[in-house]
Parts: sequence; C-alpha cells; structure tokens
Amino acid sequence: MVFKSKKVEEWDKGLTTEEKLWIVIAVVFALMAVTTLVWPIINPTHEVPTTTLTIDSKAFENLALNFSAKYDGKPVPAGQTIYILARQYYWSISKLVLYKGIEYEIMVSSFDVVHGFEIVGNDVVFNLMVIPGIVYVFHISFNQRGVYYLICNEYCGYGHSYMRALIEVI
Amino acid sequence: MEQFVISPLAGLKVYRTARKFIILNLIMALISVSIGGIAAIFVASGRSQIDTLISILNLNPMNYYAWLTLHGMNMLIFWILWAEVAILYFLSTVILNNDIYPAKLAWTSFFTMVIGQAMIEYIVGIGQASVLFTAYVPLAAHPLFYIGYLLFVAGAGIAVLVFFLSIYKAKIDGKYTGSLPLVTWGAVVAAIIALITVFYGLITFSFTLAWRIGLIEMNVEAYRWYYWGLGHDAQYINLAATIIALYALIVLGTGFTAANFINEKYARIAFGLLLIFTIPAIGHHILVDPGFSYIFKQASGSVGSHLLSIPTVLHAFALTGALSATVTASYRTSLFGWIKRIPWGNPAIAAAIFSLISLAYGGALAQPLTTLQTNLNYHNTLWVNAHFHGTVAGSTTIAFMGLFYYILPSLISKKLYSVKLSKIQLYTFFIGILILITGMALAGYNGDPRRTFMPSDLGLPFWSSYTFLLALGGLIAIAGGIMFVFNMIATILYKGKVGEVFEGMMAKFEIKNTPTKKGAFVLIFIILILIMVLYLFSFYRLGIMPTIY
Repeated sequence: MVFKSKKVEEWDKGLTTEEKLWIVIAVVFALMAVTTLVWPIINPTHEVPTTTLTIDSKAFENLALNFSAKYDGKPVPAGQTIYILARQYYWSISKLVLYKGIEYEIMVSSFDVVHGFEIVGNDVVFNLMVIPGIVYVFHISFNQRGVYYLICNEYCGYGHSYMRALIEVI
Repeated sequence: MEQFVISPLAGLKVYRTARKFIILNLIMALISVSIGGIAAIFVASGRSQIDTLISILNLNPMNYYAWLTLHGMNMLIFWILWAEVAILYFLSTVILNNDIYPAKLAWTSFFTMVIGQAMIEYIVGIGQASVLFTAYVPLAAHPLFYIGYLLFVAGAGIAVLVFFLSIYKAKIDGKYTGSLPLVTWGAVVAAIIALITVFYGLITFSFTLAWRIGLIEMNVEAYRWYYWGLGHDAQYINLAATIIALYALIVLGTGFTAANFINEKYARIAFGLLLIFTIPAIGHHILVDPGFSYIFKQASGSVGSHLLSIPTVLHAFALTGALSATVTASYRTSLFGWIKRIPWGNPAIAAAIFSLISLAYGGALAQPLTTLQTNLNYHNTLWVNAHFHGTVAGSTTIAFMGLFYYILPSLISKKLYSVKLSKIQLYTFFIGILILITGMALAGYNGDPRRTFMPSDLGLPFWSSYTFLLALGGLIAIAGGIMFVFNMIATILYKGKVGEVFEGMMAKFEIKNTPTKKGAFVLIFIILILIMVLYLFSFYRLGIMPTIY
C-alpha cells in the first residue's frame, strides 16, 4: 500500500526484468537527446552565437545612431557591421535593408531594460536576448528575399508590443 | 472532544489541528486559482486577436500586463504552492496518523504567506507592479511587490519546515515504523526541492529589494540565473507533487487494487533520481542570453535538463504499468484492449490519465526548448507557454484537482458535493487545456512572441487562427476551473449526504487473471519515439533556416 509505512524488507524486493528494461530505455532516450552536443561539428553555421562584448551603453548608442543615420531604409553593403540598439519602446533602426546571401555581422544591445530580439517572417523565427550592458555579436545570412519583422519578444513595459521594425531582404 | 476523527479513507486518524491547516491552505489555493482564473479571461482574450472581445473587456496595454502579472503570480506561484503545502501537510499528518507539529510555526507560515500574497495582489491590482511573474530587473516594480514575494517564499519555506518537523514528531512518537509510505517519501523529495527553491527565492528577492531601494547595483544576468532557481525549481516541486498525486489517484481510483502492481523500490529509486536531476536543470532559460558561456549553457541547459526526462519517464512507465496490470488482472484483453476497460468515468482515473497525457504533451514541447541550438527558434515564443500550460496548467493542476476530490471528503467525512460534476469538470478542463496548448504551440512555432498584448491593429497577421484556438481553449478551461472551485466550496459548506463517503469514486477490480504491463510498455515506447521524431524535426527545421552563428 502506497499510503502505509512499512519495513524496508517489505518494499525492498528487487526489480523485475521489465523494470530494468524501462530504466535502460529511459536512460537511452535521455542520452539520445544529449547526443545533439555534436551539432556544432555537423552544422557550425546554425548555432547559438557565443561572441559578446562589454561596452558602455552610451558608446554603443552612438554607434547605433550613426549606423541608423547612414543606413536606415538603405541597403547595407557587405562587410559593414550592423549596430542595433533596443530601448523602451523602439529599435534604433526602423527598416533594415539587407542583400540575400551576404553574411552580415550584427551587434545588438539594450539601452535600458531586458529586451528580446526576434526575427520573424517567411518561415523564419530567430530569438535572442538583449541585455543592457552586454553586446551580443552574431552573423546572419538570409537565404530568401522578402519582408521580415524585427520584434521585441521579452516583455519590456507597456509599449512592448509596439516595439518593432522591418527587415527587407533584396 | 476527541483530538482526532477517523477518516473514511483507510481508517486514518485525522487530527483536528492538522485538518484545520490543510483546509485553510486548500481554501487559499482555491482563492488563488479563482483570481488567476479571472485574470486568465482577460489574458486569453487579449491574445485572441478578436477586437470585439478586447474592447468588451476594455483591454489596453496599461491593464493587460497587470492582468498577465496577476495570472502568472496566482497560477504559477500562489495556487500551486498553497495546494502543495496542503498536500505536504496531509502527507506528513493524516497519512502518518499524526498531528501537525508545531502548530505555532504552521500559523506563522500561514500568515506570512497570506500577507505576502495580499501585498502582491494589491500592488499588482492597482497597476504598480506590471513586471510579470519573472520581474526581470532592471524593469522595476513597487518595492511592496518584492517584499510580498520575499514574505510568500519565506512563509512557504516555514511550511516545509513544519512538514519535516511533523514527520520527525511522528517518528519519535512511534506513529509509524520502518520506512515512510511511498507518497510521503515522494513528498520528502518535493520538500527538499522546495527548500532549494526557497533558498534561491530569498537570495533573488532580498538582493532585488536592496537594488530597488537604491542600496546596490544589480547584475542583470545574475538576476536571471537566480530568479530561475526559484521560478523553475518551483515547477519541479510541482513535478514531484504531481507524480505523488498520480500514484495516489491510480490507487484510489482502482479501489486500492493498483497498489498491488506498484513496485515501491522502483518508485522510490525514481523519486531519488528526480531529486538529483532537478537541481542542475534551470539553465534552459538562458540559452540565448549573451552573458553565459557556451559550455555552461550546454551543461546546465541542454544536458542537465535532458537528464531530467529519466525519472519522469520511469514514473510514466510505473504508473501506466500499474493501471494496465490492474485492468488486465480483471479482464482478459488484447495488447491495447485494456485501454477501453479503464474506468474512464472514475474521477481519480480520469484525472490521472489526463494529467499524464498533458505531461507527455508538455514534455514533448520542452525538448526543442531545452536544447541549446533549437532554442533559437522557440525561445520566448508562445511555444514556451504551450510547454508549461501542458505541464503546470494541464498535468499538475489536473492531478491536484483529482487529488482534492479525495482529500477533502477524507478530511471532513462528507461526500463530494457532486461526483458527476467532478467528472464533467475534469473532461471540460482537459479538453480546454488541449485546445489551448495546441493553439499556443502552433502560434509559437510560427514565431508569435509570448507576453505580448496583441490587438489586431498591430499588423502582424500570421497568428490569428492559432490565437483563436488559444482563446477558445482558455475559456473552456476556465469554465472547467469554475466547476472545480464550486464543487470544492459546496463540499465544505453543504450539510452532507448519507451513505458511504467515496461511493461511486472507487472502481472495483478483482485479481482473476495474470496481470500484464506489456500494453503500457509498448504505449509509452511509442510516445517516446514520437517525442524523439519531433525533436529531430526541430533540428531539421533549424538547418533549413538562414545561417546564424
């Protein structure tokens, strides 16, 4: 009875073959899930970005504002690093225009609270966290032309759902 | 007046003091789930993308996030912790023929939790703390919010101490000999996880409070780590408590027959593994954060969390195995024929099965979330909500509802107000939750961000058919929730009916044939294969997306 206390001898009766098999199956399935540790060897270009920089938020704001002044709504040439700053409740850029098949380096950081960086559209969904005081550096290369949305996916205050920008891939 | 009454459940002694605390905690749980349920109406409607609904409820960005904070706090913290304290008290007193000890400490715990909760309900209610259940700094709430959080967590910690002291008292008074009953053993695991949770919670919110009143600087990433020590470990208390409830439900629903087919050694080992594997598994929240190293994320997030599936799967085998053995001992059936013979109309069995299905659904959705690379596609989308509405709103809540249908009558020796309503309630709630999580998972798969007020003027049209399902399922589940609260309160208040207390609530089985667990074994194996296929598919999907690294 599961509701009654009992002596150790009363419940310590060993496992049946079936139960041993259950344990093996549970362990094997967990280890199968863990084998995806080798993913970076199979596909190093679909990986969680690891590069970060620590930078003064004022300095990064200048980089982002300069970038937007030059490239908002205009195609970003290959080799140009993209700087995007998140703040309550907008992105430093309103429309990012990128070329298909070109790999860009993007740096993103937050001016105030925690934000989320989400690219969505054309069957693409990418999500990264944007943390104040840390710059997240990653590389991205779109394989399909079209319009994508850049939205905030971490609640950042009342205007959160209105925080979005466009990414056009040409 | 005698100190105790004899329970209609297995002739256990119900001490009046212990009973008072269990019922007080249960009532607080009912109040919390009701507030959370009212908030759920607003939250589900705010996500429906149906403008009529949004305008009828007068939803706007200013009040939507207050409702969302209320919903999260009440459902994920208050409802489950009150319910768990009630269950812990039940398992350390009534099950051991024991009184609660020390009662003064139990009062301290109760009032600390009530005051903490009241502070939070008030300050969130007046819109001064719309920071959601996670309260990520540097988004700031009114200091009362953090004080309330601290008090509630500390009060829950004291309740866990009362649980341990009550068991200790039972031991020295000779109320039980040998090992603890299986359900109480499981509760010890839940209680140890609870202590770890409380530890993280006290650290998180004392530092956050100090930061809020300007005493210290706060490291945002450190907050996110410590916060999830509270936020996710609290859900592992649920997992342990849910599994205890499932063992109890399967035994109760089969009129104690299933107890013959539970190998307690196996179950106790699985509970032990649950304790070991939950401790490191909180890192899946920071997988796409910039502030943690790759190795740290892999170790704590991916590997640590995947290992947690081991004890969960072990229990799933044992529970479905015990059920199939009970049925096949009574009826000769084919490999899956026993499924038809399960007493689907029995509230305990229905609750146990619905809870297990929700757990499998929510667990399957967890796989791509807790893996470093695939988290890129699912992090912070409604997929996350689908996962924990499967595990918490589905699995834990359904198991607790089922368990309280038995605990409450066993305490007050009264029949449930309506057994029929309890059946209808479980089916309604389960169907609602299934629709809800399916809608959430589809929307999340397509990138619908979580925690986002979504009137249709936002111009993001991708998700409206899925969020319609979300709202529909949510509202059906709320109807199920109302039936549960009504039935509980009515049971406490009504005069009681004559007759056997658990009449119609315990199915009868005879052991006539050789029982077999083969059908359950094959069934769980198929489910595991399906989960693995979904998991591999999520890697395929990542591979065809644009390159990112």
